[in-house]
Amino acid sequence: MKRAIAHVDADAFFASVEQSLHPEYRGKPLVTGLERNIVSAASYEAKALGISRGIALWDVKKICPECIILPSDYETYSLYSFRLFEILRQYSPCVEEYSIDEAYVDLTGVSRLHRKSYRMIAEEIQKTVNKRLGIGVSVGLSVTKILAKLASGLEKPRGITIIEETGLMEFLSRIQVGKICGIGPKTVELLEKFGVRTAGDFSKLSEEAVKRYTGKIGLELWREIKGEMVYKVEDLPSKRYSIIKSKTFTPPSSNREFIFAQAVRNLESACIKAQRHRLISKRLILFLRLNDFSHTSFKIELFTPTNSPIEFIKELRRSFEAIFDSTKLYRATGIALEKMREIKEKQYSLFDNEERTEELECLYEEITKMSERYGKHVVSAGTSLYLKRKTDSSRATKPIRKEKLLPGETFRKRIRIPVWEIGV
Amino acid sequence: MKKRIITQERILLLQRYLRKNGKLPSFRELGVLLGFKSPNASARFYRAIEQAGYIRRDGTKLISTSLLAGFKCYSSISAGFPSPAEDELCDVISLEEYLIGNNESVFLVKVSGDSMIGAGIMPGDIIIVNRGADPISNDIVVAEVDGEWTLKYFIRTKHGVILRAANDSYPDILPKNELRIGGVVTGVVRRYYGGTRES
Repeated sequence: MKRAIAHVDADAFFASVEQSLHPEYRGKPLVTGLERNIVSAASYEAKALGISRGIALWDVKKICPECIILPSDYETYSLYSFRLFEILRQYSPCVEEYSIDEAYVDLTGVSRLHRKSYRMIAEEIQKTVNKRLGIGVSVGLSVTKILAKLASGLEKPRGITIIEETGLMEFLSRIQVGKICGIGPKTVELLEKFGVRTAGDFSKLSEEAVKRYTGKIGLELWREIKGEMVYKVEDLPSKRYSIIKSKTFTPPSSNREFIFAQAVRNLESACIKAQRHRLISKRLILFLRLNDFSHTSFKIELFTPTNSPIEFIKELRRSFEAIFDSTKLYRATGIALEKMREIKEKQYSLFDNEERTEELECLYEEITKMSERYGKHVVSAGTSLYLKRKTDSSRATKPIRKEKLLPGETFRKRIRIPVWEIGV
Repeated sequence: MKKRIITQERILLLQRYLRKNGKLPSFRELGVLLGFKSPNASARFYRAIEQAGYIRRDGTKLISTSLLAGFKCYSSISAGFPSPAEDELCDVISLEEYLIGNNESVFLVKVSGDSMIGAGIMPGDIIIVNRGADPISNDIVVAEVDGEWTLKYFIRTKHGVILRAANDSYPDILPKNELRIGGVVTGVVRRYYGGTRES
């Protein structure tokens, strides 16, 4: 192989983590997502019964009454994710953290270092992850990222799939074009019109045709599946943070002030988190999710980055009015603060109101102190009067890690090591 | 004009990192910390501060010197003879490092049973377990025997493996069907509140 790119993909990640920490769940149908009433991950035992990501828990109970249903414990999943990437870095320094449960590893040349074939390295990665973390991963190995990702998805769970350059065309002719990462259902439909059904058909198209049908991205994918590297393994993590806060309300509503108040609450939650991590942003995105699960959004760009809700609220109202339609039913609002950066030395631009910035900082510092004492959102924007008094259903949906604290831990801060729930 | 590699700001960031993590950042982490695009830039920075005496090299390992690690910010500066104690601070490790080290397979387990009391592991203690590690004789292990999890000494004998409690009221376990070693216990933590109970 001229290059060896591995795509390592954890099998049913969230569900596997739960089974790894709770041995009594092994071999049983299990789903996570209790807090949002839909399946966010299903164990392979549950998948075998036809339970998949995104279906309602109500239906899960109908399909399998004894299915274990757990609230998501993102904190623990992140710890596992971090560890997974650290293990991968022991095989090659070039690891791209592609999502919480998948990574690309550039293994090119390291087989000499480890004195093993690429297949043996892939097997060892799989074994080590299983031994140390107790979860399964599937590994795809090929000459480009898109091919490696295609490979890892072919034999799940715990598969090792290698796509070599010799026999590549023959191999692709057996793969549906929609299996290629980046080619969605719409593109599949379009390509079908031109007689393209398999990845092999797609790779045989001319460059002009690919460009015409699928644009620049399609062209890049076309190159990648032909074995020509376009995408490099990006081993440096992006320094761009973002914070997303979203909440679904039941029943769905078309009450303007109520829905706006929900959005403001999301904004305040996002800002609290930003203040805690000393991050600021000037780009905010407002999402409104309609009852039919479609959504609209609006992007807001401020002059100066901030983490004070007050600074965003005026613009938020304006954009809310621009996209809100009172004849429709809404079920959720969401706020994303994007392109966040750390607060460093103060740098004011010509248009900044230095005094105001400092005043706000003092204000929010005091609010934080009060929240610590009396609870989150004790001081909030006046719009919160439109919110219904909180009916506390969150209690039952807290992950066990936040319910059963170790001595000295608080709900807010816990030791960053997973707790293995074995009764000894 | 050539940009200076060593700046006050960078050294401060590095010191802050060192104090927080108890170690120097890896090339990759340094890149994130100081905004370098390539590991090569990190390497160059380390070479520069090595020449300036902020760090030294022990084989392939980089170690911070007192120039970097010993630097502390005091609200007031005390005059007089500098304390030699400061100089010793460069070779310290954090409690976390001492108990856990840089290990991706460490898990915490809350103990409920009393079978290891003789080894100083009490009910309610938190043990630190190196998951997936291979035990040698006399290690304390967590193991799954015939479907039950247990905490015992792992003892290898001529006739096979014995799991032995550190409590006379428990008999030795000679695994009949299946023995699965979950991990090796590397430490135990017990927290006393000492009057500062948090809510």
